[in-house]
Amino acid sequence: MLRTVLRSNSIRITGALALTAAFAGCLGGEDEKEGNGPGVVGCPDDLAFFQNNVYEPLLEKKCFVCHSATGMAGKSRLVLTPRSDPDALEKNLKVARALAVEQEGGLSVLLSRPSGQHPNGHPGGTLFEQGTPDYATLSLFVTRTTRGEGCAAPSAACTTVQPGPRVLRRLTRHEYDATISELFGIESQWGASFVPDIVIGGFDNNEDALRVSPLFADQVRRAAEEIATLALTNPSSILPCDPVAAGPEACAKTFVDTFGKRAFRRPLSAEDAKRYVTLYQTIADKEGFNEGIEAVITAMLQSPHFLYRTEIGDNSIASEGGRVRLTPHEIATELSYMLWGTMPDDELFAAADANALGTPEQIEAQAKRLLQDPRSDEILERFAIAWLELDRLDAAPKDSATYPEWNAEIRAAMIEETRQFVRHVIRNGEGTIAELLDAPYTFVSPKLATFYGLPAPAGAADENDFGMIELGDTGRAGILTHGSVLATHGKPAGSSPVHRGKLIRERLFCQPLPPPPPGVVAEPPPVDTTKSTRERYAAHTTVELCKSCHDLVDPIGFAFEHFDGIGRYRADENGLPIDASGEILSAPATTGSFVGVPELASVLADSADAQGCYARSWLRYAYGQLDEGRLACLSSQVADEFQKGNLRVLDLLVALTRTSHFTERVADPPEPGGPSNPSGTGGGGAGGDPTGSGGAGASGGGDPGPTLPYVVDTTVDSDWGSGYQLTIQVTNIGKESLTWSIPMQVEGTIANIWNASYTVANGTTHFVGAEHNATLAPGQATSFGFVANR
Amino acid sequence: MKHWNRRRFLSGMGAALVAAPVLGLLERDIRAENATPARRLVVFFSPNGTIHKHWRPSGSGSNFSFPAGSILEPLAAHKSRIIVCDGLDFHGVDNHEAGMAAMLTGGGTLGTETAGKSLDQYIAHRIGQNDRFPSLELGVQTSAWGGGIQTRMSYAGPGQFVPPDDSPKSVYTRMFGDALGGPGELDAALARKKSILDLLRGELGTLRGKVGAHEREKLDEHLASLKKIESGLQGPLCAPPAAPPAVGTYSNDAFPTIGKSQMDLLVLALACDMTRVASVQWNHTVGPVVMSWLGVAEGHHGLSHSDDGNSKGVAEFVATERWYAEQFAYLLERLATTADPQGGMLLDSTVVLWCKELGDSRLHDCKSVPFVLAGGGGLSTGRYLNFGGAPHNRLLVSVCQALGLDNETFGDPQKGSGPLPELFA
Repeated sequence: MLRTVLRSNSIRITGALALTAAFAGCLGGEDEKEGNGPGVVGCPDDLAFFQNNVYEPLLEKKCFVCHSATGMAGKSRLVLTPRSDPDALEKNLKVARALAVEQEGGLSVLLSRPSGQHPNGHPGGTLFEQGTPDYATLSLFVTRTTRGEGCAAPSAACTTVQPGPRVLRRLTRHEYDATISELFGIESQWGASFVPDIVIGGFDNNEDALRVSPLFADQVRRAAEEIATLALTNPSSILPCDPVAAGPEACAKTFVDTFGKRAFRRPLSAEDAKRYVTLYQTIADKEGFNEGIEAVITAMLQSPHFLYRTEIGDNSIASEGGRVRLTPHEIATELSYMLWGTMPDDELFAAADANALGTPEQIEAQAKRLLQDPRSDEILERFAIAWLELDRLDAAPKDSATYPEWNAEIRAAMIEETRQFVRHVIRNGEGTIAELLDAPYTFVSPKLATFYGLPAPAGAADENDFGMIELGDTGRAGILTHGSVLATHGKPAGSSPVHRGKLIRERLFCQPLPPPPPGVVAEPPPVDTTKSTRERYAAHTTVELCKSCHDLVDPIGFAFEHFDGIGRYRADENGLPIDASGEILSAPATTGSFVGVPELASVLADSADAQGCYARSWLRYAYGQLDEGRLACLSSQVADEFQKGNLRVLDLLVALTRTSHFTERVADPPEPGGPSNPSGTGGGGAGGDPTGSGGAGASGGGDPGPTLPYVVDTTVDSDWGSGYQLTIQVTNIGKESLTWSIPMQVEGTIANIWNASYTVANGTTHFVGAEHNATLAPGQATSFGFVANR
Repeated sequence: MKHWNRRRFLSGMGAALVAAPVLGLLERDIRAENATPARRLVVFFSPNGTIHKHWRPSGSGSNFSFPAGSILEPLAAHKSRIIVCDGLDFHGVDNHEAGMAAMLTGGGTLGTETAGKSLDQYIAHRIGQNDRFPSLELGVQTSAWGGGIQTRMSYAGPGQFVPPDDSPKSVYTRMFGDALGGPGELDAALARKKSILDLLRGELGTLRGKVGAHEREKLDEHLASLKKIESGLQGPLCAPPAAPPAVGTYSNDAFPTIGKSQMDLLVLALACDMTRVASVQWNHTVGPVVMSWLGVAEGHHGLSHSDDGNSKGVAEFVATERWYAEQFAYLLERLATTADPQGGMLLDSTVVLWCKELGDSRLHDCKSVPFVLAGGGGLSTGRYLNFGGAPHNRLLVSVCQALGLDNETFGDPQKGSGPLPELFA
């Protein structure tokens, strides 16, 4: 490392001066290199690369909350500077570079710490796991910094905003029920009873997590059987024809086409239709017409074409630059599920059939139509419920001795308050995130008003009739003082500054918090009637190790101290005075102190962190994707437009239908194993993966193929159409040391490679390690990477 | 959560490997020569660590007892059937989430011998594939927060959760629902279901050819799930009992009722030979259940963090932990008194593991994580053993070997390999 510095063109400035030379902001020139710090080689566009790929998407989002001057890692060597400092970016690049060049056990500390590979661990847990795109980006930054390699990767990634990948999105439990209702005109509770899905980024509709587990498959099967039986209790309600008049087979064919189109959200191909007509025939021959139709319905409701919303496009539709255009029926489906949570209506079907969803104007017109329709209320309301984790309200345990008033009726009323409020703000108010947070009104029934100690709404028809009331100086403002929010994020027998502060951090600022460090007694302060909750929690902030993290949470949560564990206002706490003052620390772009929730809500309403996070949260929910990786740039663009615009929720949703992601997808990354053979995979059952991946379930289906003493994980770090960057990790899983050579089909021409070299023979590229990583001990792993041009 | 760790390479063809051949030189079977391998595994999980001084028995080896009022005292009647395992650490792992993930996987990745599977899924993969349910995952209020690292303990592979079924009614229907009706009716219904499965497999295969590698993983998982459904489509294996009582799946106070129903169904599934691998997961790490039936007002997770200075909190936590010990005792009692279709009682041919995800709950660490083993398979029961900081990976290996498997590692081999011979001595 040191030699690299000494060999560079200018060694006129030496010694301590070189180590401490400040950033001149001009990183391109050879002459400046010694100013980068010892061991730093770097690339000409490092500052832009750092900002766009490393700092804003990774360090600021995942590290800043602890690694800032007031954060719990404020005394570590990674202390990040907030945006309010004009030189923040240069300072942050400098500290990141210093860690990038520092190696321990052959791995940069910048990589080993947050990925859990450092022998001393990382108190904040594993943030960037090996094999993930984030890890690969950090790895590329280290490679550029220490070796000056990988400079071909684009630094200003956001000049080309890319759509996300092609995906299959399994229907969520809500979507399943809504779709069944639409298809059969019956109320569906089947989906609600299915196994809950995995929550990623706060939402349970992330496409990657929506899988068909064995349990889910069995539940879907049973539901399909029950629904089909129910549907056939009155065949004329679902049949488009009379089987006697039209003839049973002709009628069955018509049914397959018409019902199939609605169930699959697209016209059936001839092969599709044939498959189901054959099934009908097989069963009808043995058991009769109705049973044949019943079997068709049962099968269609388990079909991948029903269970997955495809967003994979059609290669035959013209597209450019390595992208695939989604089909009109896929776009219709995106629109209806994003804005209505259910299948397309007749008008969307007609538009798709007529290929009238091709232009941004056509899509926008449909989006606006759907949003004006009250059928979009459900999505607007459900987003708020998921966003603030209110679906946990019903299961939030409360102590019946402390809170005898707590019951299912009050919980239902609280959710109704939130639903009516959200609907009103978006439909009839100014419709902004700010108003959601600080509106001086809410909606209550006389019963809920009594529970809260608020005036009843004027003109209520009965105890359960909701109406708007002004909040004035009741201590309440906006959605955060709804009983639903306060009780969900309260303890069984009291308030909870920690949970409420954590809610603001994680859901309003999109800043996930690290777990408490091991070895620290993390006891919530015991109840002591001589002390207020705040006094008891003050203990957190007198123990240094606790203080650093709880300073992020408790001072925000204290603003809620006027509200007890079930959302009622209290002027004092059992006679003890309440101090509801607080402040926000260590947020990238939000500061401020406040007393009580209304003042906190005003700070949040103006907070760039909260506004950006809100837009990103909607993107996650609407697209079923994280606002990271390939969608990082597009997400930043959507969030920026939202913040600079009018902050209106409906406009944000329309904007989300205008992105490239809504109509196009990046074509799949090159298949390192060579092109797949579609004709060879049909009906193969489990275990048909040509690469022999052994991970898909405990099926034991096929022969996994010869066992290699190594495994290889590839990650596409970046794909910009004309080129791409791959990182490949090789792990020796054998019991002997291994000198590796990896054969691979490489698309395009390799322009730049690190940690390995390659030869090409008969179209296959063979990679072998560099001197330092050619041979791996058992269990040892290494990684190499390359940039290739197509 | 991400499924990046997949082999996407030419499987060996043309691979130039310079590695010495691996020879299986080790004598694997450390169980007593005449011991019969166990046929079944039952995993019992309860969350939020422990307080060691209230958990530890007194004495050691076969000369031990449960102090009055201690957490394990409710197991006194089963003392001869269990091994209390102290001093097992999750190496390199601390805290709720990481502990939950490492507990049954031993930190395995795709490249390891157990391929990132959890203990139950690995064993099901090895011995359960021909059973009606290769494995049966039962839950007691595990999913009110949705799926996630906190709420899942079973893994089919890295990041690939196997969700438990929280509804006894649903479990009951899955166990017996397809077996209702007369023989003729049943055959026709099963034939229809199989025709549909064939059609679905064909569709998945065709769709698989149209999507990229990332989506192919989803479809492979889907195909594997259909295979499991198919193995469940069999005629009746035994007569259905009365249906479990209907209660709210996530109603806090229904917790004990649901738990008992799930344990009863679990025992029945074993007795009817429907499965050989079953688990019951009570709540989840950071679980908030309030054991109001014990007169406790604070959530279990909150209580678990009670400092020694908070004597009321500690006493309440110990009471809740004793309640879990009572549930474990109930399960052991049922297994010890229910006939095994192969002869003897179920417990004789079953390995039962009570596991937790944390050691000292107040410290958020995974040192001396409390385990209790019970049953057959050559385990030398009736003892209290301290393993002095050994990696729990070796306990997982031991359980596999008690079931007759020969794997020498479980999870991350760097953390330790081989069984714990003391368990069988």
